[in-house]
Amino acid sequence: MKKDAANFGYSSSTIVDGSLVTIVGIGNEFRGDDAVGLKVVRRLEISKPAGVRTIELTGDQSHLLELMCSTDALIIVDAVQSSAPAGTIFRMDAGKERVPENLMFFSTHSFGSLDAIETARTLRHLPRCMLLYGIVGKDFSHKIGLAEEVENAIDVIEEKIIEELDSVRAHQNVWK
Amino acid sequence: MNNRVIKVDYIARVEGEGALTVKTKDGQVSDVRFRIFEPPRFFEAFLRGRKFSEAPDITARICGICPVAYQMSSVHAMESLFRAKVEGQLRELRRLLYCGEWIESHALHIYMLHAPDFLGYDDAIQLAGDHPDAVQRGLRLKKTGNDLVAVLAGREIHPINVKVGGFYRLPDKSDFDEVLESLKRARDEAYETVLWTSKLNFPDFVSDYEFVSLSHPDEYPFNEGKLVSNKGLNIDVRDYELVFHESHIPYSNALQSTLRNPRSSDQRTPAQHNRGAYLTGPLARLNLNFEKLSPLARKAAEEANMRPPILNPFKSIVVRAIETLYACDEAIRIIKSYKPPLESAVDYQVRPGFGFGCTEAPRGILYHRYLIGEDGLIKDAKIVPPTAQNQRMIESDLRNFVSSNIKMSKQDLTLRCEQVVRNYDPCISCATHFLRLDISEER
Repeated sequence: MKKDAANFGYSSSTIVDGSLVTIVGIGNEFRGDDAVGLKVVRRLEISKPAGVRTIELTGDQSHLLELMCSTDALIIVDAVQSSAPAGTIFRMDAGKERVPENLMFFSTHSFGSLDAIETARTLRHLPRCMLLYGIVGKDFSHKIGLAEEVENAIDVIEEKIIEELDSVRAHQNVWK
Repeated sequence: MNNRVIKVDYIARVEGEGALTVKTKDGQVSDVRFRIFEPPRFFEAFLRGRKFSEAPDITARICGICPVAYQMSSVHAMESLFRAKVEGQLRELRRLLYCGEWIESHALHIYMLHAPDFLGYDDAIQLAGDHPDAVQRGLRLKKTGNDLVAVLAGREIHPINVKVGGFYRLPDKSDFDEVLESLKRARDEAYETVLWTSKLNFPDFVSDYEFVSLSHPDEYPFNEGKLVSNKGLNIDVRDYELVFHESHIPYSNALQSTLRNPRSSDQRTPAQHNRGAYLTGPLARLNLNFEKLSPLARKAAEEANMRPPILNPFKSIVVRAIETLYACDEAIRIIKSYKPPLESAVDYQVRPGFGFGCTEAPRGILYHRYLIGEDGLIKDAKIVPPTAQNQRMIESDLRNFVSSNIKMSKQDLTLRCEQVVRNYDPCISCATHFLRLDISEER
């Protein structure tokens, strides 16, 4: 699994232990690798620490704007289209930086996750912590099931997000 | 004279993907091709062999913007076959659910997707920078629609409470307390939206459309009615396939819909038989059902100078605002008179045969037809979304618009062509914000 070292590591955003943390998996079950975000949050639904909520978002991503107003920390997991190999994981602190335009989050619907993030930034609605995990997909055609490389990325990203949440808890004084 | 090509290679984030090409030669439009790839074809195959009762939840996955519409058309199709009569408060709750979907879908389109066109912005992000109050108003409206859907459908994102015959669970009257207050505020903001959109600058463009929508004698159409047009169509939903025809076109994976006169003994010529493209969606609904709007929605429409006939498709943004206001008004009426029925669904007998359903999705009529076997399994399914039905009319609009604006600069013409597409459909509209554009001139 290739990863971008510069983009891994922990956020410089503030996640305060005890705050409401929401993890949103975005995708379409019937569009091949686009489902990877949904698969990740289904795993996290079982393995997540207490106090973290998980949401599957399968269509209109303008819902993210509303979620941003009701949570302290939002972690988005979504499939991306990129020239990087399938299964590559990108991590961005969207609260600190604009998401690169050349990283296209696949969406079959109107208002994508990047639109939601940037609109919220403009309206000053971003939550205190706004992280974005993207998994590079291979096949977004009408089918059910992930490519092997994308499937393999699920374990890695699940582990990274759990570590991120645990780290927040362990170092809350530092992170405040 | 130069030949020109306006080409949009890839339209993503639609009810399928698509592309747009307009070619001109010697000052005339020589070719228009608007192509989409339809996910419903995939779902039609996926439905075969599934139980009839699964259709509402499976088809709801076709579109994240209008899952309620897919649920509604599917349950009405099954109920038509099973002779189930959903009436009274259960019927009212279905209208209420549709109100929620119209509010959220229309608010998204008006503020986040369509308004930037008229105000000179690339997208809603730029619009939010200069007009934060307007965007916040749109988001509040949308949230009210979401909240209404969530109360009725179990959750706002993919409704799970609809079933053949009614609902799985009925809300208590008190479940609506909070959303009722939101709706009252939303109604005021929807009225404001009608006036706000009516002051936008619209290109001078009209067309002689055949508008098609449902029409019901007593109400603005959501779930039920006959299929009518301003040019004499008046049929039952079960006769849809006698007059609406889908055909393959060589450059697209999608089927294009056209309207035909039913074959009869008068031996019409093929030219007389074919009526061609038609328009479905808010513009059609308003033109054909204006008198069925609530008094408040009619008042707003008249204040905005929006009495039928409205033949400028760019004004569909105002029409959506009027329908948003109507949906808020109608939702308040239904909630105020709501008395939970004793049963959450009516009884029915599963029967084999064909079932037909057509309801008014935010973007227009959505037709479903199922063949159910003796075992209650789906043997065949046909789903015709409004996007596919409008595909040929979008091409017609592009052809007419480019023809009458042939001297416009390439940049402006391309932008206007995108707008022509956005006039029709939130999913396609959004896609055009995502386009890679390539305009070239051929000598």
